[in-house]
Amino acid sequence: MKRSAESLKARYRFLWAVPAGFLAVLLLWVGRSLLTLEPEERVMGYPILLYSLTLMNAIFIPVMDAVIASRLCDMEIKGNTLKLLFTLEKPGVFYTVKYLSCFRYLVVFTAGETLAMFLFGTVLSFAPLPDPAVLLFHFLSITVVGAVILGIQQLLSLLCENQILPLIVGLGGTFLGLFSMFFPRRINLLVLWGYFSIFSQGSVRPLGEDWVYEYVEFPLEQFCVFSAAAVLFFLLELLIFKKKKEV
Amino acid sequence: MGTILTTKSLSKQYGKREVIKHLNLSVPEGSVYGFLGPNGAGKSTTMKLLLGLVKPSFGTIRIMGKEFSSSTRLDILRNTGSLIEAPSYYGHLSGRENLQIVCRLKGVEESAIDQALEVVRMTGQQDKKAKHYSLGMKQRLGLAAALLGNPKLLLLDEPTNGLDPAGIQEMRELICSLPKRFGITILVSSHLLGEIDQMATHVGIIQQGELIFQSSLADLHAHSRGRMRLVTTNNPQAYALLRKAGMEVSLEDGGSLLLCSTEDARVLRCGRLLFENQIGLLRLEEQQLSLEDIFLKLTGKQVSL
Repeated sequence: MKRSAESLKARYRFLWAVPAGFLAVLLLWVGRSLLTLEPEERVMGYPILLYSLTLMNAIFIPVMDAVIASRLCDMEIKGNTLKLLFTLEKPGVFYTVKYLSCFRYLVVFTAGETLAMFLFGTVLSFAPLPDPAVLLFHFLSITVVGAVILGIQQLLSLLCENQILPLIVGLGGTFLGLFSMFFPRRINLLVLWGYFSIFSQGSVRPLGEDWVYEYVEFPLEQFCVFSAAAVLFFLLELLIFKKKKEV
Repeated sequence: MGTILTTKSLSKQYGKREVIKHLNLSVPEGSVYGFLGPNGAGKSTTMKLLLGLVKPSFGTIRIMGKEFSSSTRLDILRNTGSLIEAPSYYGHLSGRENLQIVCRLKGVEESAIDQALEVVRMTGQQDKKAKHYSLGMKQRLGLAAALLGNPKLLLLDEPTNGLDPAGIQEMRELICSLPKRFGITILVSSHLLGEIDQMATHVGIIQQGELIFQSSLADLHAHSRGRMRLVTTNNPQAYALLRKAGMEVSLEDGGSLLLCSTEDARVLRCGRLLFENQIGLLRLEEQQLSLEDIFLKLTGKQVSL
């Protein structure tokens, strides 16, 4: 019932267009560069794709999260609906349902991107993946990192009267994340928006005058710790929201 | 008449500032309870406490015989409708779609929407986007949302705020019709005495977080018993004389006496006493205490009209 109320609220907001639009731009961008690959370079097709997408995700996902959260939360702020809603449902339930509502748009993007990777590989005849789990880990890692960023964006969007601030945070996160990737790993680890590269399974290194793209083992343990921290982080956001809204 | 809502020593403190002080409200079932007080007196905070939107620092709330707590809150509120401060609505959706959302959250059949729209006289505007509604229509939409699920109690916080005179009249009529039509008890807050006077059957007056009066509207009107204003040739002597005779009288600054009664026998006795003691009576007039005067007397603040 509560999920369906949330779906009704999203009517006429064209929210599916947000992940679809971001995904379309991303695929056009990546697809264009993949089409220029020489046949011998296609052996490294997947590592190239994994590496490029890491950078692209650092740019696209934080901004997309900010837009989705803002579109879904702004209607509550503008319509002054929170007081009414909290007489009908628990604030914690409201926050969680709202989050899940935002999350499904993120999953559309991350699942779409993973599927597109597979399709690119098949159509452009990349050398087979060493392990199909690469795609699964890619999907999981960008979804979880994106979900943590989404949580921050939702909290800000629900607490701010003006949606400019959350959007600025989204944009700022993009730049911060992107720059952190060019710093040593220890610094990269300090920036949430840069975690796309921490869990990236593709890397590049110079070899003479060439660049060699290769697979990197997925840091599964690190990812599990990050996922557990993500759950705690969500609970903390929930607590902050309930405290701020005093119910 | 039983009570549908009671509070016991309800208090709210923000830091060291006590905004609600040991409030003991008692709202009779089937009444329109006017919760009156100047701006900033604590009306909205009380409403929020009653809806569980704000946690009390101290005290208890009982609604429909159930103790209000975080575990019973939503259960109790299922039988309660509310309209708090500014109207709540999704501007990009139509009036009907707004009510559908409330139905889904309340777990009420969507067939209830038609009746709610009919009660607030919005059947004709139900498909218009809420952002295009006038403030009065938004308030009526809020009232329709509050009515979904046949609540036993309605909490309305300043429902006529910002409305034009026609809107105020319409909202007032709507509120007054609900107890008769559906047996709903209404707790309505306002800083407008005239408004409460026209709607309420019972009144609670709050001032600086304290409940300073609570009874039926008839009781409040009874406070407006008249007084006699006298001007004599020697007011101080007349005052002493009447006091000595055991009469309730006061000496006013403006050079007159106020006899706290309009009873014929007392007025006659007063006149005789003055005549027997050779004090001339220059003026004698009856003064009726208006509700505004009572409010002023109770709160010490000028009331909005």
